[in-house]
Amino acid sequence: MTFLMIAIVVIGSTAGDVLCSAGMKRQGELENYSLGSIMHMCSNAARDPFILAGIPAMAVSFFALIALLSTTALSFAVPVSASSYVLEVALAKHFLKEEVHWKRWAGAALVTVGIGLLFI
Amino acid sequence: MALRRRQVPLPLVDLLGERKRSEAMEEEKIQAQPPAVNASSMENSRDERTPQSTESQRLLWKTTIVCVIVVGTNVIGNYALARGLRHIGGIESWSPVPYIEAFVHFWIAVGVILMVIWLIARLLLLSWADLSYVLLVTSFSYVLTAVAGAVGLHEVVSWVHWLGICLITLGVALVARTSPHTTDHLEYEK
Repeated sequence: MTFLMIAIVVIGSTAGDVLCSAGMKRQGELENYSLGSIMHMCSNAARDPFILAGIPAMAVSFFALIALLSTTALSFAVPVSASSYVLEVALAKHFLKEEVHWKRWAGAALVTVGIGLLFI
Repeated sequence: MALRRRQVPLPLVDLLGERKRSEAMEEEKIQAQPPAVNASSMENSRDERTPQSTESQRLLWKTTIVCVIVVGTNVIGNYALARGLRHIGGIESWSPVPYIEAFVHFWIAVGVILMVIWLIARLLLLSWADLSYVLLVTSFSYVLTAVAGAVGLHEVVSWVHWLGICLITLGVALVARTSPHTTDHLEYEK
């Protein structure tokens, strides 16, 4: 049950992040940070097909994380959900055409190893 | 001269048939650019540095502030959720009912509200910053979460955990030195 929940958390967050990032880039940068503007952006984002697909994926990941938190320690459950970092950086480079500098690859590797040590 | 952004269409956007339109618009813009380089254009390029630098500073400040909000809400939200779930006990069910019932608990309600703020702030951040930047810089929340687990929930943090915390911090520091925004090929100065 624990490992199934970990798999759901990782796959859900990876798919959700890539889809939401693609959707938010289509929405563009918010210039005015009033509550009305943020709400307007949220309502526009709620109609974006990528975000409509990404949010449920993140919601499934979130509920799986709650289930994981209820049975395991916080210092285990939260770091293990980040084991998809290198995968997400690779997907960002491939699908979102981001310029992934060597510092980002090194950062992803360090963060992943660091999380692995927290997992022990 | 106004700062000009060169939008690079996302491959995922191709699914909606927008890439060809964007490319056509881009070609029109490039053709409309004056090719000549003369003394007056060199003077203008000197004047461009100030707005671009201001824009870089504005972007860095904005990115930093929203990153702090994302990390803060994530850490406190996770702490509140874990504290609430300890009170109500474990949930191991495929039915959504026990999860919905758990929301009436104070700490879980606080955790859920903070996670909603976290989601909105993160989406805002992703509207201009790269996913590979946001993902890694906000991973500092794992360091703070482990510390919160040790201090607030009295979970054991061994020296191996502290080593992991140091590596994550180093990774975040490396990534934070890159430009948060690369998809429109603007160079932002640090």
